[in-house]
Amino acid sequence: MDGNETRRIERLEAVLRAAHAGRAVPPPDPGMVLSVLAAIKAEPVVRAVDKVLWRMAAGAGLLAAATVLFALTFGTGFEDELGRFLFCDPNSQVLVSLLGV
Amino acid sequence: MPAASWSMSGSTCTPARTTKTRSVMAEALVDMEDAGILKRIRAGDVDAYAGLMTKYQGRVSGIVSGHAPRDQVSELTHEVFVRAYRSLDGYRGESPFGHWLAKVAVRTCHDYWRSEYRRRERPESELSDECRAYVEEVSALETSEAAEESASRREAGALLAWALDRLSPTDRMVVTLTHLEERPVAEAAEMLGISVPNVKVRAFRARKKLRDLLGDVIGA
Repeated sequence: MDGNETRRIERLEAVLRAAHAGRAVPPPDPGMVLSVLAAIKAEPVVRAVDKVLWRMAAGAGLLAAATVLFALTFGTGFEDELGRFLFCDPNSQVLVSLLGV
Repeated sequence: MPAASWSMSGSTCTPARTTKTRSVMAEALVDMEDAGILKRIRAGDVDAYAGLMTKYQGRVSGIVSGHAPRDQVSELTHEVFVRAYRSLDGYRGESPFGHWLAKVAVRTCHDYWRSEYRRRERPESELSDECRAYVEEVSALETSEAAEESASRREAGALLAWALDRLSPTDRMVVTLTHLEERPVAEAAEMLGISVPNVKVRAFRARKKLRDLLGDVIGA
């Protein structure tokens, strides 16, 4: 791309900027304020439902995390096996015992 | 002594200081008016929101029309105000309400393009013969100023829409804010809710793509 072509592209960029700056803004919609208020007033029921669902999801997540932590802390040795497996298991013995083979 | 240092010196009331003080006071009064309305809304007076909408409707429409097709401006402006109301809890009053509302407007337009691109099935429109002829004509002009004078023609708008249509939704928003509106990168990043380095990279790449597209049209 030579200097002449660069200048031609710059002129086109200037046109795009000017076209953007000179864009027509539609006149304000006189009924918008009332329609937004109507939409907002129709909304609270949905918001309350959303909040309840979010709380239920958060509660279920917390319960699941607590269960996993409890099992890992007071479990029946599974956590030790898992720890050894993750730490070092060159002959895959732990993996075999975990799979119950 | 230079005028600038004279107007800033001591506590003397100079014309420049008086004008600045007046504008700061006017802004503070406006903010207090907004704060008053927001207080009423938070107290449960939903209808008080009408005051803010009436005040900022033109500004929001202006922002939206810079980022969305003309036939969508009314609907998106409506959505901006609904979203802003839903997010009012997140407005802490650290910046003027108008600035915060501008951010909501830009992000709503960004979301509009993301959903539009996701469900877009039609092939990208081709540049018409009239537009190609216009591009040849404009690019051959002597100066950029002469080219800018032709920007009110219908073909200029079509060329802009065609070029932006070929960018990703986020690149489209970034290039509009930083290149077409010449806003600082930090401001664009804040409006879009993405990091400054991300905006910098995107602005560079998107502008390059835009230039390549224009280059292809003129056969460069």
